[in-house]
Amino acid sequence: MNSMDPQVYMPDRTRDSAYSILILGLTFVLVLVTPVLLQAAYSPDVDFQQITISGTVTDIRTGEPLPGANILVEGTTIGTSADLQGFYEIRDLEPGSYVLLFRYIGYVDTRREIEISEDGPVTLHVELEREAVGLDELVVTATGSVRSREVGTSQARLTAAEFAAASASNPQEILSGRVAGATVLANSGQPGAGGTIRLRGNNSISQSNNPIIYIDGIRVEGGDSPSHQASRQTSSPLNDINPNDIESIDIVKGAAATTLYGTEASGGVIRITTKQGSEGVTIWNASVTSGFNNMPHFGPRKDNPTGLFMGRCRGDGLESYDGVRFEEVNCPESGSWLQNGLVQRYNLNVSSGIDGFTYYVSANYKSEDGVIHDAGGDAGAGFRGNFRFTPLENVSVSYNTSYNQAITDWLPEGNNGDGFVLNVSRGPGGNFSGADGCSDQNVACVDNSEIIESKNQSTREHFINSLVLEVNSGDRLTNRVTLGYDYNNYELESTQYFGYSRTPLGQQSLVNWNKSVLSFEYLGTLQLSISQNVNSTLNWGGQLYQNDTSTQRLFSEDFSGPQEPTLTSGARTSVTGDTKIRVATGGFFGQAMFNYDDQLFITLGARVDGHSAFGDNYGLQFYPKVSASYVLSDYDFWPVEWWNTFRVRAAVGESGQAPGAFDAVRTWSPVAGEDGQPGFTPNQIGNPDLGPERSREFETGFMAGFFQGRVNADVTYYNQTTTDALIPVPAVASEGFLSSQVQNIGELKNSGLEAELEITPVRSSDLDWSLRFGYSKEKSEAVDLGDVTSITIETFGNTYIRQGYPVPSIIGAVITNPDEIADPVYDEDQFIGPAYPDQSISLGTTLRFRENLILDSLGEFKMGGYMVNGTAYQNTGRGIWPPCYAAQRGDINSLTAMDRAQCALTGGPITRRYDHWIESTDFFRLRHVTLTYILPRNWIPENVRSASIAITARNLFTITDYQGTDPELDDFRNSLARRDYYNMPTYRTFLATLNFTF
Amino acid sequence: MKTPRVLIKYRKRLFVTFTSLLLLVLMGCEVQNPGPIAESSLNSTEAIPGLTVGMSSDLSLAVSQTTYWSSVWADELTHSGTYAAPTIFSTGVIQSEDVDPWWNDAQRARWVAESGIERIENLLGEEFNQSEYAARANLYAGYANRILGEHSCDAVIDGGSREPYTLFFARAEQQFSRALGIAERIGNGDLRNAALAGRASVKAAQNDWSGAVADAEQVPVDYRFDAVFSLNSSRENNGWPANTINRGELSVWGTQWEGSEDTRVPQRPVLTADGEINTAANGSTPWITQLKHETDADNIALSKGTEMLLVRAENELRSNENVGEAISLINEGRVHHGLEPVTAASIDEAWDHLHRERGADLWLEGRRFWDLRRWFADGTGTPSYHNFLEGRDTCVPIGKQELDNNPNL
Repeated sequence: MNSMDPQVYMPDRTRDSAYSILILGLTFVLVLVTPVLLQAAYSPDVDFQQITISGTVTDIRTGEPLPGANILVEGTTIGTSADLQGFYEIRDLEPGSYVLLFRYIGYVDTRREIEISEDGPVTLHVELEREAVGLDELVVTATGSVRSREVGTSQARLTAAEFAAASASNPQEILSGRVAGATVLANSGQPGAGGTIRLRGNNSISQSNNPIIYIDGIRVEGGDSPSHQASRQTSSPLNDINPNDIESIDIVKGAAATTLYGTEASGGVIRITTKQGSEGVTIWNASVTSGFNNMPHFGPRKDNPTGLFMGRCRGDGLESYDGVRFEEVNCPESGSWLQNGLVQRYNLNVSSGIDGFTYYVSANYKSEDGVIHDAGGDAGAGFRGNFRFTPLENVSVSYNTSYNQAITDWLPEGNNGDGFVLNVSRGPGGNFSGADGCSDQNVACVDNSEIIESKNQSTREHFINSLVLEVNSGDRLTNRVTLGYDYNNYELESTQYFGYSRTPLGQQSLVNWNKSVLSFEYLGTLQLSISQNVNSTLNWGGQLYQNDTSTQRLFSEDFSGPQEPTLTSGARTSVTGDTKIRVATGGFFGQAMFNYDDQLFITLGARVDGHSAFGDNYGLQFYPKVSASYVLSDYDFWPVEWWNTFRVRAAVGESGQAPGAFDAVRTWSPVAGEDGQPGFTPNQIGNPDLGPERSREFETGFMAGFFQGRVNADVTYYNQTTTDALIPVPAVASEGFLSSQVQNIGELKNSGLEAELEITPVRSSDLDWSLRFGYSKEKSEAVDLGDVTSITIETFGNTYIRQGYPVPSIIGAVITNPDEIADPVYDEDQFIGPAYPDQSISLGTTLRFRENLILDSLGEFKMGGYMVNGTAYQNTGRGIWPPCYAAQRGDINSLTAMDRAQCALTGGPITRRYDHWIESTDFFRLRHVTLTYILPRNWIPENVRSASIAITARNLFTITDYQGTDPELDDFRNSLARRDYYNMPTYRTFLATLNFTF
Repeated sequence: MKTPRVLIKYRKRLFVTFTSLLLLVLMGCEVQNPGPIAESSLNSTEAIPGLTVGMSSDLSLAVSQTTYWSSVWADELTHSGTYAAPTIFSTGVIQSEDVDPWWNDAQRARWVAESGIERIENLLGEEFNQSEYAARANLYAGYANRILGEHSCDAVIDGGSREPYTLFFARAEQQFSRALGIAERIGNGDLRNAALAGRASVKAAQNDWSGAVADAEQVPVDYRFDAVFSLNSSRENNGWPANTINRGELSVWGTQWEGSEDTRVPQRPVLTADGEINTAANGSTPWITQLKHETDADNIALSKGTEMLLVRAENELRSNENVGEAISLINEGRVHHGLEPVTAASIDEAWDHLHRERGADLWLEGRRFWDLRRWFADGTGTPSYHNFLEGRDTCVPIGKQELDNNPNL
């Protein structure tokens, strides 16, 4: 293999880069040309008398300007934004009386009436008051934007202003640690790998627990791509959304809040809203981010000087416990497989608007290398165009579109004979031992660089379109029609070239995955005034979704030579899989919200759903809800001087989760037999009575604000019961069908507490210091599994579902005498803990010094979860786990029972068990620390509105007793279980961002 | 409460909207997906060839699993790997919780063939008795039942209760008889031999030795009926190279066949670069790989003419104690394979030859466990006694999945 010309068969990265640059170039041209064309097409008419209103918008207490504050002329589409000094100007108003609405995030909406005569310009300075817990902050719900005071359920909202400092590279990183009740686990330390998101834990045993995702009002794919063949990791289409384009993210967590989303919504809903332009003001924003990914040490810190031979692949310590030494023939020059991976991100966006038309256009390019020498990385480019057109006074049309293309270069990892971590960490016992070319003939010669030379890529395209038509009939009735199309196209390639030692003639595997969601939604809103004190909002509407998934798996092997192969290069080719699945769901809903004195809000709602995956005998599904929100602090008697706001809320509601596309149907599979003849074999037993799981949730809580917003609290308790839970019932083999059949026979419970506390100890014109605490605790239980006593999720992950225990649980043997100098004594089949963390604490703080310097940080404790450390289990048995060397080299009779168990060698006196390596995954991780410096006005050119420099460190450090490489890992990407099994741990990232607004 | 005027004003529009949405929901949710085949599609004469191929395919899967595991149950190979179930089997313990893959595959092969026979009979009516597909279906059902009978401790049919394992043999005999009748009617000699050979083996299993011999005598010595394997798709592979040639999960080392020159037990030590014998997957057992199933496309015999000679030879020893005739039949088979004839001076010696000949002739064909089981059951005082199963489990229990989920068990 070494004799071949690498140019002939190495992946053509140059071509990929050129392609990306071409796309980037085109998108930037689009960004530059669009505003010019639009400005030309919509030149304003200036024939009438021009009157101008101008002034400043400032904070009522500090007197500081509020840059970016929105100013709208009510009843018109005219508006503007305040500049960096808080100055605003609205031109071209005809004489008359107007109401100006002043809005700024975190401040109370303020209206000012103004009379304009022909006398000339008018000056109006406005001071805004800070809002306490955000009673009047707008949140996005199934029925549109409403004030948070009206919502009877807990709803988290993250805005761009809040998460910009995190320098997150994707939406999952934004969500990480920020929302009480949301668990985000990274799964792998590879750029481009998708994480796991759970809102209020796992509510389903057999179906998806992913939240459903909406972007700009349309449903998009919320699941993961198929696992890559070599990395075993998935990509998340959600992460294709450029964080710079996001205006806000609303997180709707439980069934009580997701009723109107119906079947499939019991895992919660995440709604992303992207940025829009404003009329009258053109804002360009450009940012450049540069930095590097870094891994200071690989694996456990104690007694592991070589970092499992990843940190050091040359020099001392390259040996197994019994002194079998090895040489890594192609160890990089640095003497380490670890490198600092370069990170680059470029963003450019412009937003503007003229009479009746606004737009936001952006383009981005990013490239990120992983932390393994010359292997792994993610690069991609994308653009977005958000356009809003108001052709008539009461009609608006919005069209939002985005396109993203990216290529992930994967490092093979996980339970894979070609995995990099597996082979490097096994030293002389890896699958690439026995290589040629080592200088020392007395040691095992290993060449793991072969793994890196194979090609493992995912090429991804993501195209999202939404068209929204909104018609207001008078003041009271609004009709909105939304059409959406979300398209994902992935090609997953894994190629081992001709000459690869484990498959000498080479092989190629391709997975083509296409996923689209076509959606149609109608929403009607009618405002009614029932009496002087009682108003009502009625909503009705419906949705249709068509979800198409097509997956082809193609395989080719035995190439004739060292060319860059295609599928037809192989002497043998096969189609190893081909599925095309369409799922259609449709539903309609109605909701009535009654508002008493703008203080008490009672909402009644229901949804009726049909779904193609329901059984033939199963009809439509009905999900009701009722909720109340009561703003007590609006009473006159309330001590608003110190207790500014207090709102209590409670809700009961239901939502569901549909079975799989084929679960209800009795089917046979096409197979081959008799050397390629077509035949049938039993596939799915089927169940014509199959329906959805139903989750009913009771939720209650309060929001309170004290001391002029210096202390804000939000507390929620929820209790959810899932009935008709879809339990996979194993088949009776003597009846011919072997696969399990899901049946609506189970019951699960999930309850918990979520609390958020924000304290601002210091607030002055020179210094602002705020602290944020988040806490959540979940308790799940499989209450009833029908006649099934135990469901095995993964035997080699010790992961089961048992009646009376969390979903899912880690169950195994507990060593009852861990510290005794003796052989281990076991208590078999014990519940050890939940498989996922069930408790989290987040700590965040923001320190602002004057106008220029901001320090923002966020850390997160995740507790309660357990996982099998499969890497340690495997390597200890092979005598190649350095932390066990001392134990393995010493006298076994001097060891504790736990050391004897964990460090047991294959064939030794103690039988090795996965159970020995079940470990708590409790950890604290500093998610980010960012220092932002806003350049002084006199440092920057006049035509630049603002400029800033930010330095960010992500995942700076982790504190954990977990003995594996990372407590956030998961090798079982297609199952409810998780396991650490030769995965790449997460890395830390250092970034510098230069941001200009002009 | 009085109906608000606005509602009255818009009621027509609201009604139209709701009705339209309801219609959309009802119409939009009817989806037919490609890929899996609705069971109703099988109720057509056009589906009969596919049904029959499916039976063959499922039988081959069961044969692959049976040959692999029963080679450990019956000491044809030494377990030298790391997989959990065979590790336990190698100690002589065969437990319900470890045998699901075998039980499930064998039961599926039986059910698919038996339910398919019923389906084909319904579709063809009178023509059933003239159909080659019907003959094949009965053969596949018969062989699936034989696999179950030869290994199981108990019989379970279609979710029913526990019954004697001999029920599988009785069903197999009936199915082979039916296949034989059809094969003779349509003049298909190949299928006739397959049915005769299958029936001879299950008659012998039920101690009907004269019946077995009557069938066996009609089968030519060079006849062979196979479970078919192929490289065409991974489901059609026999799975043997992956576990014995590419990876040393099983080794000939330590068995009576180690180092044998008999061409019926081909083998090869796997050597290191230094020429030493390599260790197998568990890192300690010497790795001698079998070469009988050298590629994934190698078929595995279900019946052979040489097996028929051994059935007849065993009958001569059991029923007539005729050592000469028995050895003559044994040697007929050996000559057929190009091997030297053997001699026996006593009935014990003749039995020893028979034990060994059946072992070599049927090596890795999933038949040895039954031989050991019945010879062990003959008892220590009998010349046919074989002691390998002493202190070991002598049959395969019902799989745990069946035990846990079949309400009749």
